[in-house]
Amino acid sequence: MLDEYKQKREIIKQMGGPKAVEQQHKRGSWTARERLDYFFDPGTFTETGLFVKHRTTAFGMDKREIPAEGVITGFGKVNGRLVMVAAEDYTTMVGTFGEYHGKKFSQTIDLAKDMGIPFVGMNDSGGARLQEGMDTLQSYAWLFTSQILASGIIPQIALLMGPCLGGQAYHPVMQDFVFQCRQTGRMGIAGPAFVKTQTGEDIDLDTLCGVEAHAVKSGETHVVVEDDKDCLDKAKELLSFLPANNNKKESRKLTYQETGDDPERIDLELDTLVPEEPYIAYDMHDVIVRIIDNGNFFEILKDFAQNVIVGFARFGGRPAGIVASQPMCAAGALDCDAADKVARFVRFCDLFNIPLINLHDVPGYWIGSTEEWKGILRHGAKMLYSYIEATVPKITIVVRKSFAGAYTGMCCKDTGADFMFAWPIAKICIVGAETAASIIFAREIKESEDPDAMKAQRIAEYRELFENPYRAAERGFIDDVIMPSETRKHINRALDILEDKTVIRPWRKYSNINL
Amino acid sequence: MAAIVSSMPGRVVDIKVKVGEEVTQGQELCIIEAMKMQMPVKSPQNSKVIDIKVEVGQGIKKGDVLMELD
Repeated sequence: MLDEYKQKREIIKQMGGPKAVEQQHKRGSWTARERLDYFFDPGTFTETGLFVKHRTTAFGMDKREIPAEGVITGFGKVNGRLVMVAAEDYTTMVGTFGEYHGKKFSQTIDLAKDMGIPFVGMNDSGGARLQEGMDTLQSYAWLFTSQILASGIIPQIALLMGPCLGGQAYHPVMQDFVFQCRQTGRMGIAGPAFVKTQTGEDIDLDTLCGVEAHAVKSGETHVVVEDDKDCLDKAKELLSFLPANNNKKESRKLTYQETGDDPERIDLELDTLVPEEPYIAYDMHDVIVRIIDNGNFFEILKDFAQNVIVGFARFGGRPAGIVASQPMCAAGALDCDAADKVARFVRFCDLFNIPLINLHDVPGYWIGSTEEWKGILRHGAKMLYSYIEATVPKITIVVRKSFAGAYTGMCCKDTGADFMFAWPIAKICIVGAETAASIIFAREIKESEDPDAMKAQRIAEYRELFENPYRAAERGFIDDVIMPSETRKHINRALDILEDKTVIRPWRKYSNINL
Repeated sequence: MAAIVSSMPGRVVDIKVKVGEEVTQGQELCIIEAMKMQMPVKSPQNSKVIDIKVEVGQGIKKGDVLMELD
């Protein structure tokens, strides 16, 4: 009896067998078991559903053995903290997604949700198992239902380590973060062959579904990684910033790490780093790395909508989400893509009790026909909704410019910031001096003997009066004008006092955010 | 041939090279301005300016070709 048990178990654990494993290695990939070995702390992985088997009989499938149904599920520890996983295995019937393959996925996510444990999915599948017909489709529906009902309760991370095409691709894209392996990760609603037959478009898989497609163009891939090892390393790094679930204060405490970086550290370079002239671009990353613990910044959506920067960092050991303008790209102005990027990140942080630090150097939302017709108003509205609804600690620093709708859209005191500070070079206005003066004094300028001189004079007057941090400070719109070198100290002190921030609001089903 | 395209809509405020000029990687080719920000457009490679498609003061759209490099 025990021998039979051991033999059965050993056969299934071989998955697709040596030949298929060799091919997987030739593609530059690890097998699912190798990935799990590397991912989990040694000896901590417990597998569930090893013996699960499909029940299809059509097309000779009744004789087909598919070890573990092509997906390994279970739980283990990553740096000492529990994580649940479903890892597809391309060596077993190319990891095709059938009824029981999907059921293993959704059962894993259901348990992760009920126990408050983060879920990581590793995608490496040739697609739907068509031999199972509608049973496969039903299983997609189970999976989508499980993951959506778990969204906001536990963090969910998708690792695109191989292909994930067709309806199945809704699984990774609906998780909180998508990682994509540069050479092997491919995601799309349909592959090139289907696209060709249905639409006539001739396009190869890499162009249609590779990292350029999703990390740069569609904005669906949050983190690009080089290979399986890099992918798992970066996933572990991201997990270190995230609490296990949405409702345990204790689980947030587990994300605190001693970083050895003095919370009140002064960085004198910040006092001269940002050009005073508002039209000169610079790289906001240089500011971010100087104020966070040890310069350790985990950037999300690095290659998409680069006019804003979002990502995770630590302040005095506690994780925080950073949202920052990037003046170096498209003037740091907010367009539709940037607004989407910020809004979803803010909502993730809010769901999981991660404080938000906002760095403004923003001239406004992008204006003009292109963005107007793309719907900058409804996309920009997502930022307002997400910041105003967020109940986590929110701290805003005006580094240089904060104008117009972007002042409210990127979280000012009256749209939810608990603290708002400005650097002495800050310009906090409804519009820039040139725009304001040319509207207010339009007639006077036109009728003047020397319109150019009059215009310049009026601009200078408006600039003198309003383009500074002091008008805002006088009215209490900002809490203080601070030395740039002391920014980190002010953020950490604010985070200290906001540690136990609690907000209670009247019940509603949800808001009608402009999706 | 490498086309230098504008990363944002705006206006050309300065052109820093001439047709036929040898340029080095990272050298500023021209400056475009939008939303109160001046963005230097830099050469992606060591090359030579073949053609300049814009003039100072000209309005441009995102994706417009500003220059052709060899």
